[in-house]
Amino acid sequence: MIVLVGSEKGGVGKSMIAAHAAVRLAMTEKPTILVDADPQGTSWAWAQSRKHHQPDVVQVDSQQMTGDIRSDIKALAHLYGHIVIDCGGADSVALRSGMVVANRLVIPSKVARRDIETLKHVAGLVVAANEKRESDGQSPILARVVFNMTRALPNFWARIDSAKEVVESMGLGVSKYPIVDRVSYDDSQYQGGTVFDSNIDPKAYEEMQRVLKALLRKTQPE
Amino acid sequence: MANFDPNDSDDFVRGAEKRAKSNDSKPSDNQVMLNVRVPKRLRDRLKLTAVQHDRTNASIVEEALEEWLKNEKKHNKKSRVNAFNDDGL
Repeated sequence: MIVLVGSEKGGVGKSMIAAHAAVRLAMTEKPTILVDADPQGTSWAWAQSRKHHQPDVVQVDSQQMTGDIRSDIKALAHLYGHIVIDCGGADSVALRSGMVVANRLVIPSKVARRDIETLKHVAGLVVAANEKRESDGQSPILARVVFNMTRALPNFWARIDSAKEVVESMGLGVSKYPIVDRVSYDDSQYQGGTVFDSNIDPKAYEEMQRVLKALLRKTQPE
Repeated sequence: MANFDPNDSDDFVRGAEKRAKSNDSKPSDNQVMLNVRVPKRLRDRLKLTAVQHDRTNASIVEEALEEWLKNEKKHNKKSRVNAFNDDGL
C-alpha cells in the first residue's frame, strides 16, 4: 500500500501521523519505507534516529525525495510492501505527483477555521488527481481528512461534528475518529519512537490504532 | 613415574618417539588450514583475525554466514512483496 500524508497547511501533525502509519504498517511484517518529500526532513531524521537509538524495535527504512516522485515511488513499490510518503505543508510537485501514484491520501487538519479553509484547495487537487488517474486506468485515490490535536472535552465534539459536515460537503472523506492532543504523541517521538513501541500510554496506542484503521481501510471500521 | 626402563638405552630413545606419537591432541582451530579451497589472502586474513581477536576460524565463518543468510532472507522477503496492492491494516 502507498500512503501519502499531505496537506496545504503546516503544523498539523503530518510527520507524526506519517511516522505512526509507517510503524503500524511495518508491524504487518511487510518491509516498509518512509519517504520524506518534505524539505524540512523531519521524518527522515526521525527514521534515522530510530535506526540508531532503537535497533531492536520494528524498523522502517527511509529515503528523502523531492520534485516529481512518481518514478522513484514506482521503483520502491517493487521492493517494499508499504510506502508512506510525508509531503510538506504546501501544494507542491511532490504532493501532486504523489497523489497520482498513492492508494490513500491522509490529510491531517486542526478543527480550526483557517485550517479547514485550506481543505477546499486540497479537495480540488483530489478531484484533478482522480481525473488523471481515471484517464490512466487507475482506481481513484481514497482521500480522508483526520482531525488532529483535538481537545478531550465533551463540548468539543460538537465542533468536530460541524467541521466534519463542512469537510464532507467539499467532497472529502473524514476519519470517524479524531486524534486527541496528547503529550505522549510528542514524547514518543524522542529517539525515533512511536506510541506503538511501548504501552506507556494505552489510550494513545488504542486511539492511533483506531484512527489508522479508519484512514487506511477501504471502508471505515465501526 | 618414568614410562621407560632406565637401563634399556634403546627403549629410552624409542620411548621418546612413542610419547611424541601418543600426543595426538588436535592443534587449535586457528592453526589448521581450512578444509576447502580458499583464496590465500582470505585464508591469511581469517587466520590473522582469529588470532588477533582470540576467536576460532569456524566461529568467525559461522557468524558471517548467519549474518549473510539473515540479509538474504530479508532481501528475498522484499522481492516477494510490492506496494501496489491496495491492502493496509
